[in-house]
Amino acid sequence: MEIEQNNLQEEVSSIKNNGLKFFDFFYRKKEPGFMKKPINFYDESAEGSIGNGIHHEGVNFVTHSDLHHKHSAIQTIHTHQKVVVLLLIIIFVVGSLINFGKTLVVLVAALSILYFIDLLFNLFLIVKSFQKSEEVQIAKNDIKKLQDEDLPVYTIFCPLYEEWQVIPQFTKAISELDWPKEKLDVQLLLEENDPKTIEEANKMNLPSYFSIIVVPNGHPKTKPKACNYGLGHAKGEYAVIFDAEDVPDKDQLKKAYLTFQKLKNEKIICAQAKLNFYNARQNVLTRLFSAEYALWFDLVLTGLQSIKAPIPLGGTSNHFRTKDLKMLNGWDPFNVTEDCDLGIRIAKMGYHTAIFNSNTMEEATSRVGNWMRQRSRWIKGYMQTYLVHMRRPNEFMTDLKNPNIITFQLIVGGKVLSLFINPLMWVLTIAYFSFRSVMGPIIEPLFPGPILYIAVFSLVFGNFLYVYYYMIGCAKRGQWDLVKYVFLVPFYWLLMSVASWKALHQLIFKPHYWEKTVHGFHLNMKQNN
Amino acid sequence: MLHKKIFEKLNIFFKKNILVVLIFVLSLISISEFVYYYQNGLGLAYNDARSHLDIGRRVVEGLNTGVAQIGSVWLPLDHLLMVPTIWNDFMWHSGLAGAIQSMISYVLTGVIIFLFLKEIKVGVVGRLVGVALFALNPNILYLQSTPMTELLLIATMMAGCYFFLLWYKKEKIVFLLLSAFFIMLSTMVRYDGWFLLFFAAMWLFFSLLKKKNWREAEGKILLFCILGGFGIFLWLLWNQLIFHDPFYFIFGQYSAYAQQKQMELSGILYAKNNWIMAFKVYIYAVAQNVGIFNLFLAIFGAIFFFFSKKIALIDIKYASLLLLAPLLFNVLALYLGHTIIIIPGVSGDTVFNIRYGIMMMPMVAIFVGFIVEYLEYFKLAIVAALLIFNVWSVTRVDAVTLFEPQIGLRQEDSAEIGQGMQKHAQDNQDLILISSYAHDSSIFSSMLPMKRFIHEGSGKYYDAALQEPDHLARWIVMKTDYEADPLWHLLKDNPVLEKYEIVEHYNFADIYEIKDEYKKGLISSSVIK
Repeated sequence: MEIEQNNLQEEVSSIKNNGLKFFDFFYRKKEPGFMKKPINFYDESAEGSIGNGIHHEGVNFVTHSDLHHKHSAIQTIHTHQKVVVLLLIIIFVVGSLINFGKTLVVLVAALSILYFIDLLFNLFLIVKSFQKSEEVQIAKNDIKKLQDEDLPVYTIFCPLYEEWQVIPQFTKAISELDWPKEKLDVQLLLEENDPKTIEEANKMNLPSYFSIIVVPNGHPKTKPKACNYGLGHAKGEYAVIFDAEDVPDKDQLKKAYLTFQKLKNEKIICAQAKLNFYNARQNVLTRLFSAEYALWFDLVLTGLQSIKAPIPLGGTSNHFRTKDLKMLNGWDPFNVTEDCDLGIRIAKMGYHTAIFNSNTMEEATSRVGNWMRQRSRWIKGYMQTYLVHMRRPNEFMTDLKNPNIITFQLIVGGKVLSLFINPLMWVLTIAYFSFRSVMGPIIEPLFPGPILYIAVFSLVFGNFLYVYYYMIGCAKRGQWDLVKYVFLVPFYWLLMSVASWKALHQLIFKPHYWEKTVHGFHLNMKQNN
Repeated sequence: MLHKKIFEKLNIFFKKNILVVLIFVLSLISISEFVYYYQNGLGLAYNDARSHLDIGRRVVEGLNTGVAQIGSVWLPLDHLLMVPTIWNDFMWHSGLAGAIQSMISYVLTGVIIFLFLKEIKVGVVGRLVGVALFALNPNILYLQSTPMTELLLIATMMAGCYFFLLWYKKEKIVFLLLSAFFIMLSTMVRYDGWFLLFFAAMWLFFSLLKKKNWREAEGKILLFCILGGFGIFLWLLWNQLIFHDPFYFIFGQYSAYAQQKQMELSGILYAKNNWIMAFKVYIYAVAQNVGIFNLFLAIFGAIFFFFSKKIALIDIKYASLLLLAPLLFNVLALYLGHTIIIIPGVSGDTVFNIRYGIMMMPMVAIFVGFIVEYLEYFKLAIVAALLIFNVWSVTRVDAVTLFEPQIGLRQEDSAEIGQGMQKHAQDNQDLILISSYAHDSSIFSSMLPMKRFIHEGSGKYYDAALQEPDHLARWIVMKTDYEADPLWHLLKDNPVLEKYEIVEHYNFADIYEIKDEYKKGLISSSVIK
């Protein structure tokens, strides 16, 4: 080790309790030998990336990855980004002091234009997704032609934490996969500090191609870190991540394998299957969640693929050649949407993701509290990803023909920003029409001529189109009975906005805290029934 | 030998590029027809054409500009499409700002007829006959050269029908969406579109219930109606926001309903509550527009189409029934007394709204194209008969759509009122108080800028001018002793009228000018400044 791991346990428990500081302008540890700036360290005694990590503020974070700290969310925000944020705040404050009204008009104008651009961009994506199907289609006949002896070993990562209940379902789903079992390397990635799951997993009569891998205890305790550890032990030529509650299509591995074979393009290093829910009709929340997934996977992602834009990967069912995954240095354990981050990193390095015609069925979170935890983590992860990749925006500019920097702003930055602004705009609209005589004179000056037209256009057409896109998504998946529930989507958006504030709070005070989504509610329901 | 090769090459070229050639030829015809009518001064024969242009102009120029100027008398798409070009004086006064949409619609409809015939298995000869019948019809040629709404309505409705047909054939969601989209556009052109939406939705719903199940029927009908009905929703919302009544366009002061009430009092709603008369009047209107021989051939073609076994797919027949929507709509509207068509010798002694019959032209073209294709042995004979009849009718009779504005009820010579206003007002900056509802075409004919007029859309200026006209308006243009003129109705008892004297007297309006001794009180020039 380059740096001794002194008092690691104490630091970990301190971080667990207090989190890392965000606005740490004045935050300094005074102990001697403390490295303020992060630095990568390498465990030369271990094989591959196992044991490697990042030292930061006196703590050695073993991430089992060689990912450079500059590409990691270990530091939420860099100094020059803080300067930009401060500068924007100062401009707003000074502007307000000079002329508060005009400053607000400029702010409203900027937001209205942003909304308008986002509206046009999304329309463009949806049209693109219809124009030419970019989804890779693998036919059944092609699958039939495959010979078992020609197939390579496939590694399946399944990170688990306190969710032993779903192991039997996962075991069943994997055992039904159409892939020679002797060429399967299924890794149940369990955490050292989760003895219950380890115990339950050991008790189960798991198939021989399953192995239980216990990830050593340490901070951060995240799914991507477990996956990195698994990657260090991977035996397969290809690798995929499945969540424990996933039920992939039986022929998914073969389709993914054929996708790589068919495309014969070294630049395409990830094949993403589509996600869907097996409990879509459990309640209104799961229905809306399903509609959202339908829109995301069947319209937005295919649209993004068609313009070769960065694709934020789905959390599971992304297939890689193992060597490519290692070349990418695996996942960032400090990013709570490591999938999104990896997708952007792939695009920045000039590689692409392909979407192919296979589905993985997941469990939609069916309880609002659980959904809120999951969603706030996703939004926090998107914010982390945005900040990480905006440290050096010029990295997007490798190919001038491909405006990845703009699409990144819209897909990741704009998406998050709109969650914060939406409630404000709704309140303004409702207040204006409900109390026109009182609110009219206050609100009207904020929207001079052209801005009013842009804002009204975005309000009317934007809201309509976004609702309608959900319907189209359901239609594309043949989920016709869900179409009528889409009328409730505005309430779902409201929940998303609430989650975004929670995410922001966590980004500041607990940036690397992984809000665990509890799975298996559908199993409870089945048992109750 | 050489000729044969050239012929073969030409044949291949036309087969490959037939749509491009078609678009090129239709565009040439369209432009030359516009130039022809523009040069002989007939391009703006309809008062309605000039009113449409004025409405578009008021959005960008006048005392009170903005989208609110589109009002609620007519549906808005036509006027909104004018906005990008109507600011230019040439585009406004030549009528090109409005005609250009009719011209594009003309080309588009020709292409759709061609494609529609292709979808119902009609060969190239039949397709070209269909297109030619439509494209060379003198009434179509005249209406495509004016800023009237007929061609825009025909194009959007036909596009809706065409994609509806494709949806029935291929069951791809994108075609259902495109059909809904174009039908939505048609609902924003004329109320005929509303009926088409209703008709198509009913047709879709019941056929899906028969073929599929309730779930799918419900989902698809929602998907179709939400987009198809969005234009109607916007129109209701618009009326609520601007006029504080979502149904203002139906029951408002200048609505079609108010006009029908007047007509009912005049006893000219001949077809009201009389199915036979309604049907007879509309069929006569169709015959006058499309030609009696063409109509008979089309009826024969339609019977053959719906009963022939040559069209094996029953779905194609179902979908094609949508072409009959204009027939059903117009007969129903006549029966309910919501519209009036006057044809000499049938329902009166003049010509009024006879152009409504042109809505059946695409259907006639399609069914004639079909019969030409399928009566193989008589193909040549039918083509020859069509040629003889159409050449004979074109040389013998003028376009009935051109006949209407010249001798019909709407022969008010607004031009002389316009010239009168120009004579008095062109050399100064004073304002003219006038009802745009009653005298829009005179406003157009005056060639004066829109900001010189105080009218119903001028907001506070109009309200102030009605209270104290002598402060704002140097001239008042209205028809003396005519209650249907809104200004006369509002000002007849106002003693301020004594400050004015009639300086020009015409059959349809008088020009009042403020007496010299009161001119000092005018502030109209400063209003403009």
